[in-house]
Amino acid sequence: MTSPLACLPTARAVPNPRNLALPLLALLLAACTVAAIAIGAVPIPLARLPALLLAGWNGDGDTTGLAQEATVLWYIRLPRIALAVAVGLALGTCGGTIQGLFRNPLADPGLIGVSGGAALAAAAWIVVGPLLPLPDPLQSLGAWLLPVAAFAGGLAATMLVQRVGRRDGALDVASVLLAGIAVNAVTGAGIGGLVFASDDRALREVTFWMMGSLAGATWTGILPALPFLLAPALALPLRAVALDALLLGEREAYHLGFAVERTKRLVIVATACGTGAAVATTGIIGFVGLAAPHLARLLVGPGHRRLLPAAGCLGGCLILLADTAARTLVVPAELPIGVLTAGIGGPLFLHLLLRHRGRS
Amino acid sequence: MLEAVEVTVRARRRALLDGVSLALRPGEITALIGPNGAGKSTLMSVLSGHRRPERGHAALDGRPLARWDALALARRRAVMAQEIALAFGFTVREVVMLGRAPHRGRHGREADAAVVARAMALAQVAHLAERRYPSLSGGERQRTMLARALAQVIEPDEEPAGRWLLLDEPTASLDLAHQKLVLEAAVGLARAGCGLVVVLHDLNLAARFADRVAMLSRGRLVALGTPDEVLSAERVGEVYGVGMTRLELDGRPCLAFV
Repeated sequence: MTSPLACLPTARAVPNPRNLALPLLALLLAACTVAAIAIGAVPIPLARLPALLLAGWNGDGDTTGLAQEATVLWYIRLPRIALAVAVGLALGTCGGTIQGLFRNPLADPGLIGVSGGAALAAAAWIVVGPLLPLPDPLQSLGAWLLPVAAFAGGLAATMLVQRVGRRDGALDVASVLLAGIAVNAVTGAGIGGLVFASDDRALREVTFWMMGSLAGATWTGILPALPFLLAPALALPLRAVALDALLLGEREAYHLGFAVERTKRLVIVATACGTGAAVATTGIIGFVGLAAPHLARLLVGPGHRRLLPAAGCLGGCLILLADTAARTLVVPAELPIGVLTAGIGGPLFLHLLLRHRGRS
Repeated sequence: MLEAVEVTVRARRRALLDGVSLALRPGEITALIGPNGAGKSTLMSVLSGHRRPERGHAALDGRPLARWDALALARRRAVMAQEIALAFGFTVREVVMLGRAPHRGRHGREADAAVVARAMALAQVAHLAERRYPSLSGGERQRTMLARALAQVIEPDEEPAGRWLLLDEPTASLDLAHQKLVLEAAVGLARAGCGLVVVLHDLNLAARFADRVAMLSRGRLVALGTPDEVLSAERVGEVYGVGMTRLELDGRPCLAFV
């Protein structure tokens, strides 16, 4: 007689269609990228793209016509698209992670105040930073310090919301959302005060945070933010199983052998880093962090190992689409991208809320 | 050996546990019984290592649980807590697979899948494998969580001797047939050398399936022994504050209201 505990090999599992979803999403992101490169006020024919890329790379723009297109491609469109992809990856991945950490599919970096905290810190740096009597080497580091300031603001907001939202060792959803409202009110007031106190230059820049925009992205401008954007997108999927376990609750995650406090700290720092850097470079772009993981969950299920990369890819696609629309719909003017994403994302959120309530 | 030594746990100055010492033996099912608020769940969370007592300690193989690494401990003991909510649509198989998390990379995917299949069969959830957890009934969720805990203590090609399974009211929302099947699975594990600690409300289930019974009352251990020794009509009546009469059935006690 075999032991009741004997584990017999099971039939080989059927291939999971979800395994295909990730490569397909990566392809979709690549396709969106190429399309976004081609479309614009100066259209760039795909057939000439390789030649233009090479021309810009070698710096020989002697053929007229090619020169203009190559300049547009290299100095205006490519940095902007690189930024869109990086911000989308960061927002999608961080959004999916925050939903897991708060054990709630309705959490979003904007709703719980992370973006607000980052925006307040960034705005404070813009307005107050130039007035500070900083020694020269620090002054020239200004571009690098902006994402750091936004990161610190995002981190402070996440930690505050986490602290306030805890009840008996577990995060209480209502408290978290209420704390997010409070944080958003305070950051809104803070930014309002800064706007009141700022001069014309600072005013323009601060207004930019409030609506979000990728316009004016330059290589020197986005380079400092890229590591902050990409590191969380790459690092968070490594904690996928721990995040899965945390969905069962902190106690269950401990029972399953995870160092809960350390995991939570790491995840909070990483999401604050990604969200903060996104806010520092593009301002507040709402609802991508909410919508991307939701779409991803429909395609690949709730497991974070597939969810986080899928949400990152979808976040990249959404930002690319929204930004391409923002810069082409009302040429020669531009729509603020935050207006577009919030305009689409707000109704989507209402829909989710209603469906969620219908189910429970 | 898993033991609690002079464990005292306080919450808001009230003692939830007051100097409880209890040594559990491998290969046995120990039932924790007692009225509501007696400290059963608190004792479970101390024995699992999740709750650090104010005084005293719990230890596995002589080493205090506070000095165990979470992962090393998870490879030796699994816990099934009461009712777990999950807002995300994991399938039953995915939830049970989480029980293999502490053993990742040790056996390979197919061996892990075989353990998961065995655990689901033992907990009577094999037919629910592809269902989504949020769509399950209370009893089905409970059995899924039991399967997850089983997947954590069962290892391929190895008896579960020296491992510990802590179950907090595993039969609470189960129908009669599933109560029996689940506790028989527990007996199977114990006979293979696994140590089990089970919080039970139904004293007749404790009498029928447990090797030893530990009775708690107001944070103190008031009796420890075989079901026959512990479950006298007088003691049960006194601790629970309700008159009971005791019958014998197949040499085991059986309690009924007077």
